[in-house]
Amino acid sequence: MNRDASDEQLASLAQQGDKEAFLALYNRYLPKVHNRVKSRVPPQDAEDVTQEAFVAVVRSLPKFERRAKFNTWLYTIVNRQIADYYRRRGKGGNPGGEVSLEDVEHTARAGLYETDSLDERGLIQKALYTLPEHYQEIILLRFADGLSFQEIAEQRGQSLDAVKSLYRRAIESLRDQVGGTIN
Amino acid sequence: MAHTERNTERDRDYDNEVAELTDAVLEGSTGTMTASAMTRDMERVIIQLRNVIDPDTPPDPGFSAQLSRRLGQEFDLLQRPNVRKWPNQRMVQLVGMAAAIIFVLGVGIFFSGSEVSSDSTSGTAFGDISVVEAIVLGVVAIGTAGVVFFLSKRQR
Repeated sequence: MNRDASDEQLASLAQQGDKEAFLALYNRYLPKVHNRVKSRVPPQDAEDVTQEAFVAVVRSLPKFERRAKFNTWLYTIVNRQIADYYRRRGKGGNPGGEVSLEDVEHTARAGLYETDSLDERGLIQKALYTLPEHYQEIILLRFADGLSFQEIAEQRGQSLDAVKSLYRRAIESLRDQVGGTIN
Repeated sequence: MAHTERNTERDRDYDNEVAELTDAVLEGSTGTMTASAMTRDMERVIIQLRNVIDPDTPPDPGFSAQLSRRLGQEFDLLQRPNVRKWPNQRMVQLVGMAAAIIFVLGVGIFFSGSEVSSDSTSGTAFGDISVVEAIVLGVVAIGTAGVVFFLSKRQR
């Protein structure tokens, strides 16, 4: 398998029945998906939700439109699985894939987080998901996907300065949300 | 204009400082970097983000391997051709409806045909049965076919 193949090339091969191409995509995205899931669900449930996300991806593979960006499509499915996770727990949840502040608060209070990390972890998760989507995405691209600012700029078709500016505003917004509660 | 340019430059410096601070936190090299007063509170948020998302801890290898096997099986299932077996549900419904129509019409024609009608005014469209009888038979046949269709759908 060509390690330099783009996501879209691998997805296309996978759609034509190439299992190795699909597994290459899986290996490429498992850490990123796992990180994104960890940012939104309690750590003890992260593996389950990650698994459900990838199973949904393989089952939806025939529906992937090759003109779309694979990672955008993938992350849409991941967000939907996270929303389903909260919905299954009877916490409501937006069918569009956004997790409400109440969902995270309720889950945190229900003791699904480890008690000693409830305060800061819960606060950061809560604050992160009240941010506008473009702020969340820039933070996740850097922290969950591990892309450098230069790589983010290339992926988004923006200048490096614009990406850094957006990122700084996202962090400021997050800081304003959590206030002085973090030590 | 100069004031705007200074603000823009100051913003750019601040953006760069926050970006460099983030890189240092994620690389674990914050000891070599001193956050300015302006970015100290940002540093705390960045550190907490790193702790929550924990990008340095990869998925458990056992979990990765198990999931890889599961996905391989799911992928193989996806590749199985969708073989249409005959008779499928739709075919059964159509045959059932046709059979019901033919049966009812056949019974009607059979029994009306066994009666010898000497009434010359009973104009027929179908052999020995009158038009009215044929319409009634047709309605009964269609109704029977509908019942067959409904029952076969309920069995799904």
